[in-house]
Amino acid sequence: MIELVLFVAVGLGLLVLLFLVMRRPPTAAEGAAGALVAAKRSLQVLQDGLLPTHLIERIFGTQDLEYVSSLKSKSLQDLFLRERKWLALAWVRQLRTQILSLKDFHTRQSRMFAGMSRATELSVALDFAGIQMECRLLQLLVQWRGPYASPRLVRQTATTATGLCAVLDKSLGFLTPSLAGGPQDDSSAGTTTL
Amino acid sequence: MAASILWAAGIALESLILLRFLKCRLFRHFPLFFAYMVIVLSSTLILLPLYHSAAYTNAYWAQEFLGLLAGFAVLLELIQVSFEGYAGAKRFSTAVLTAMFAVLIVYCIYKVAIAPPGKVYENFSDLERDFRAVQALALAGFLAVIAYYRIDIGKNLKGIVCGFGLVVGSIVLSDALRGYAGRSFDTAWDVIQPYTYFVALLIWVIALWSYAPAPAPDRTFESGGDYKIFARETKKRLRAIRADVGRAERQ
Repeated sequence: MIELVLFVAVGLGLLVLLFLVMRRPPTAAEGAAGALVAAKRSLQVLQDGLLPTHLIERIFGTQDLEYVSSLKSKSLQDLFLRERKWLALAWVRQLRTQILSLKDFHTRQSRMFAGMSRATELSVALDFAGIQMECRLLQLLVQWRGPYASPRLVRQTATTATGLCAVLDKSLGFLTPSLAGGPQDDSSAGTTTL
Repeated sequence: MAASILWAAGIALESLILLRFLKCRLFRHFPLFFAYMVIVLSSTLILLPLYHSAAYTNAYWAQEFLGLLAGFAVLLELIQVSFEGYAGAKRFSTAVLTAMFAVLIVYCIYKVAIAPPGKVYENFSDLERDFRAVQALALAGFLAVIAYYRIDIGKNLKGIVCGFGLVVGSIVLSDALRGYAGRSFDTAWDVIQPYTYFVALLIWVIALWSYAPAPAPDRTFESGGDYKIFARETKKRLRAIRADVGRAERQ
């Protein structure tokens, strides 16, 4: 029976993977220059759009909730919580998108290196898979517990985004020295306050 | 009647694919797939007159074994051609496939060596199933590398992969179910195998009608850096991010 399950899993797995890979639209032939532009855009989105402390405080801070609660309107409070949850989820989704962007940038470069280390590449691939899963988990936690349930969780997520920013910054700097010296580095990680 | 029509149509399609290969000089780009198709067609034509003779069993298993080896050669060609402009991805996949093939050859020798003289064919049957499973795993690995590195392999290779994957996947599935259900699955097996192969042939005819190379990658920054530094930096930062996310989840 175990043998049957194993072989069926292999056969079915191949067919499903084949279906998924074949239905994927062909990637736009943007090349290395396009990838660099995309990576730079991701960096800007993170630094200017997602990470500023005032934005995070506006989304996850309790000031707005306190104000709405003071109005003593149950329907208004429900509407506010619903919309704020949607906003928080959109923020986490954006983070996930930026991690995917980093992965895309890394793979676009590493696939060309003749001196690629198989062990390192496998390890990086597993790391990317792991972090993507963890981000998804964070998304579920926000969905389940709401935007105000865990301010520390939000702070850590912001730290994650800051770290991601540093990765992109470093990679861009390594490949194109003229773009180096972005505004974020490791030292700023975890400084977001709520 | 339907089986005969399907069988004849299969031979016609195989011949058509080979003709297109010759006419469009596709054999220069995909020589191992061309050899695979030649083996498949010629073994069908050789086996046909032997069907009622005693030599059929030997010829059948020889043809099956040759077909399996040719299948692995096609896999190797898929990697070589698909990753032509991607030195890193090519290095990664070739190593994985070569290791898998080496393990399989050792396993094959072991399986034949331990079989009692009268039961070699029985072991061949198991061996074929195991070979196909490894082929399926290798193909799945190839597909995973393509998806991970976002490599556009072009219409021709896409067709070869699609048809080949369909054949290998359906054989692994139906062999497993046949091994479990026994003779009662034979009716379904007789339908699944030829029809899937027919669909694969149709895919190959369409995809390999003319030469359509994959778009070449932009190599603007290829010579500009050291992989070790690049990978080490990505890995270091990823670890830090992962640790942060992990801590957040535990809170």
